[in-house]
Amino acid sequence: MDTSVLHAAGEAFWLIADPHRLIFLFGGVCMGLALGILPGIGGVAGTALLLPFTYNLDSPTAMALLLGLAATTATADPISAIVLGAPGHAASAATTLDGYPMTQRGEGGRALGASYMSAMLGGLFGACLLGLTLPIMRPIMLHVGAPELLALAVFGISMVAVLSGNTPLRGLTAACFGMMLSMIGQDTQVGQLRWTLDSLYLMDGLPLVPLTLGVFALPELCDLLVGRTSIVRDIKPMDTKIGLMLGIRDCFQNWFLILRCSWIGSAMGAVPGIGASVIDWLSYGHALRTEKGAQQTFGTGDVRGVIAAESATNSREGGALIPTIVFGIPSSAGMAILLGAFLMHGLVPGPEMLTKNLNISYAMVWSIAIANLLGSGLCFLFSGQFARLAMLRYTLILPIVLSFVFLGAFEGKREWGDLIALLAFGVLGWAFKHCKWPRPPLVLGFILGSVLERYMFISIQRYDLAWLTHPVVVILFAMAALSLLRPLFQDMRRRGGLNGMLSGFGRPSFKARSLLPVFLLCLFTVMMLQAVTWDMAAKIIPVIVGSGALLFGTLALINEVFKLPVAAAPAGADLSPAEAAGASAAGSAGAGQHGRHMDVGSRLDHLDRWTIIRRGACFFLWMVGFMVSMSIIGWIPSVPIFIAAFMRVEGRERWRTIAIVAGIMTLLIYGVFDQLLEIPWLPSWLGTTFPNLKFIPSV
Amino acid sequence: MKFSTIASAAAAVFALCLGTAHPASAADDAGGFFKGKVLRIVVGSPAGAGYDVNARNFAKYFADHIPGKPTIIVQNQGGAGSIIMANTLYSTGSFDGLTVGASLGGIVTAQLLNPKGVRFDARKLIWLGTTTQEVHVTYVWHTAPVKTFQDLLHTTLIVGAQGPGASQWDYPMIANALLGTKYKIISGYESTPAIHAAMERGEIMGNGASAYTTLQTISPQWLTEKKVNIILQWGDKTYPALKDVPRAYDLAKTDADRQAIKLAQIRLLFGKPFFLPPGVPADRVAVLRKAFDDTVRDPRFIADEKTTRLDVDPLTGEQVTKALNEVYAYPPAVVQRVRNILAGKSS
Repeated sequence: MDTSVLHAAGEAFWLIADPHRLIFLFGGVCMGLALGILPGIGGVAGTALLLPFTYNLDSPTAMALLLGLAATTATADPISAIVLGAPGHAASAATTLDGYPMTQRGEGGRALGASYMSAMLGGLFGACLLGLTLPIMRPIMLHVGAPELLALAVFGISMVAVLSGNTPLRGLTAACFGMMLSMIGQDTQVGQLRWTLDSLYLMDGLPLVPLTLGVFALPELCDLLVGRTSIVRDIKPMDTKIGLMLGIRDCFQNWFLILRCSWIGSAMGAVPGIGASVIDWLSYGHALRTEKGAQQTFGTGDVRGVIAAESATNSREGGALIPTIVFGIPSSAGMAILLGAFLMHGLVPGPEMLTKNLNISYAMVWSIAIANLLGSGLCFLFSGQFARLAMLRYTLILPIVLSFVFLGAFEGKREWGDLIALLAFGVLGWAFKHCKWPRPPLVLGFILGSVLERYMFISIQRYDLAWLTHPVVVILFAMAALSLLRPLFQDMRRRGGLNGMLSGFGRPSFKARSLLPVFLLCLFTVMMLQAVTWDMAAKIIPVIVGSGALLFGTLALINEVFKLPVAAAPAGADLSPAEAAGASAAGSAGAGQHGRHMDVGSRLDHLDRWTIIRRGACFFLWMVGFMVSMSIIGWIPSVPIFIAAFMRVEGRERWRTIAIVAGIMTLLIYGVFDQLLEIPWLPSWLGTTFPNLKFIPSV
Repeated sequence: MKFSTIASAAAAVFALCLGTAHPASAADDAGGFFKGKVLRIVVGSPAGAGYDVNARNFAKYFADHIPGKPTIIVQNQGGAGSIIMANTLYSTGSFDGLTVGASLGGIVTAQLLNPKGVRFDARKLIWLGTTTQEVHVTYVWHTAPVKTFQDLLHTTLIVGAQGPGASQWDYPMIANALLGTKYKIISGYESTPAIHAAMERGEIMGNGASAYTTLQTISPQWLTEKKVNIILQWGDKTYPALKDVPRAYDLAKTDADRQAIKLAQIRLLFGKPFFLPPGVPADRVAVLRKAFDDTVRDPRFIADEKTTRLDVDPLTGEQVTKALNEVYAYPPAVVQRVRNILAGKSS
């Protein structure tokens, strides 16, 4: 490496090692952790909040503060995913799959330990990679054009095959549906408004946050209410102390997995448009395919699943800085705000950051590295106890977490649409979960679908078909084909080839669970009928994807209605607690050979279907009630009313407990979200009718 | 407690609640009104964007020029080119002078050119002014076959754009229809920096129209190292540093063409505007308009804008309102013509 680079790196280290700057970095880390722990609240709001404060700081200090926060929100994020089964943010959705079953087994401490350690190692790896490659990345990235990015998106989508578990047809349908959702909004070719339901909210497209919170977090919360228990049902000691140590040991035993997943995280983090919420699934999918025995144990509480997801999520910050620094192209919402800080400090992303301001670039690398050490260290010190949260009653956990989830979804566009989308995708996610439809492909399709359409148009308009011969494109397409087709062929062979697959159909037996594909097919049909009326450029990709959704959805429905149950492997292997415990045994016995159903087990087998549906409906009605109250009396006054009503009606909690919980939550939300974050609340009926009452916050 | 006591208390509370939005009596001077109050500036762009940085620079000094020095907070409500924010302020206020919108210039003609979803009337908004007028330019990578505007009349120029509605798309479409240029627009890029990266790697040859200040801000080395040629400019006046670059308005051949161009580019004149929702009492409007004019002349604000590489070339509320009224008086045929061009139908 060039000596001037080493010199800059060294100089940058002393810049950051200045105690004054370290204090700011530490402050950023503390805030990042605090925001990360709150379910639903991500780092974007925090970064936006800190931005004005960086005005009066010098550039390295400002970057230390902002990156301290950005690099550590993901470290604390998995706490609610592992302990409550409700990922606090999309980035830790994959962590839930193995972390939550571990908590249910009483191994929450171990899962947390493994997640902190892999987060730290992943974060450090990301920073190292950034430091080493920064000087050479600019010329390399100039060779990555639209066709290469398109091929990468296609490769990412091909991961659907492995993330669909034992239900490839449902997975493909969900992925196509996700891609259709990503095409909502004004198209970039002719400005056609696609599937916007005539609302302004959807004009720029459906925001990611309400969708992922709805699809991943709400169903788990809903099932808490349906089950009416705490998360850990049997009272047994949680492994808070030894667990952490065990988790650390797991990380060192799986160091090579961490290395691979960090590499995936950093590399994908550098690609604009591919956010954290895909990276964890891509990395999880990679581990699922390459780790020994993973096909049988992933999804039942395998610590390697936690490690794969968390190391990748945390390593991405390093990768994401590369396009931000060298081109000024932010690859995430947080990085976009960081760019604002660049602007405020007169820093220009581009070649200058690699020459004149190289020391500031390296100060950022050090900030990320040190922030990860501090963040994980603090988590180890203080949050082993978080695992105990899982033993609390659902009537205490639910109203608190729900209040935060609402606020988290509101980060989307700060409109009613955010809350409506949250509710709609919550219901859909819950239906997916209970009908054994895989949820990850939906989000994968949603994120990569828009990337795919964007770069496909640019590639075709600019290069006609010549781009298909670009070497990188050829390699990635081949890899995508392999990743998509191999599991399908394996699946076919297991079922006795084409003949085996075509036989075994019997008289139709319509189950209640088939209502989901019927509903989806109706939805696809309506969407397609609208799409065919659009201009050619606006409709071509939605129509192709929509046809795929209709085809796969129909096949999945036929399969579901006509396929005879196979005695050896029940369709959609349930993950009841008993089965989770005996997962490895089942795996070796052959039943698990069909691959697992990619989801957290629902543990509600003791309840009959109508009880589940009735209580599920109750859960969503509570949400509707909260929203109605919000529209009448304002957001903050609704919080204590909602909490009190919920705790009293659902749990017959004592008034004293209710007053404490409601009081603390209201003050917390008022202090953090009204005073500190200055959220523009939704106008309420009360405030509009009686303007004098506007002195009450959020009315 | 007696029923009558409760009833009279309830009646008192009710009477208090029923008070109107503007309880300030005529005698209450507008200056005193702002003392101890919180004034919100709602930015119609996400945090960190150029418009946001501009509004935050402005917010730092705005209070110093308002009698009573209210506390100022800045909130972001991005999306749909500031239309969501403008809709919200237009319908729900507040209408007491304590809520100011900071938007993209495009909302001034949104209801004429792309009215879908627009639920406000730009003529009824109370404009405080703009911190700067914008000039947009076509810039071309130095190796491209097109070097001057004359070349563009017979040689195809491949330019990148985000999509319809952005000037990168709209202005080349108008130039192709009215000036006979040969832009080929490739749209779908996610941002101007992404377009710049694509120019550098040879995927496209140039950018059909972006603010000259944006070019200065994100790729200043292109100007110092002469990596790009600037061949056309759009705006209400010639940019001082670009005296030799032809202006689209001057190249137009007929009055009808000139009106069409003026309508399409009035959003540049509005630049980075600030406005109040309708219905704010006139005395408070006067106070805030004066405070606006004083703030944009404040040397501290100008220094901050310079550090953040933003231009200060302000217009007063009265000036922008006059320009707006002129354009809104054009015959409907002009509006329809511009809409047809932007929709890809021939003029």
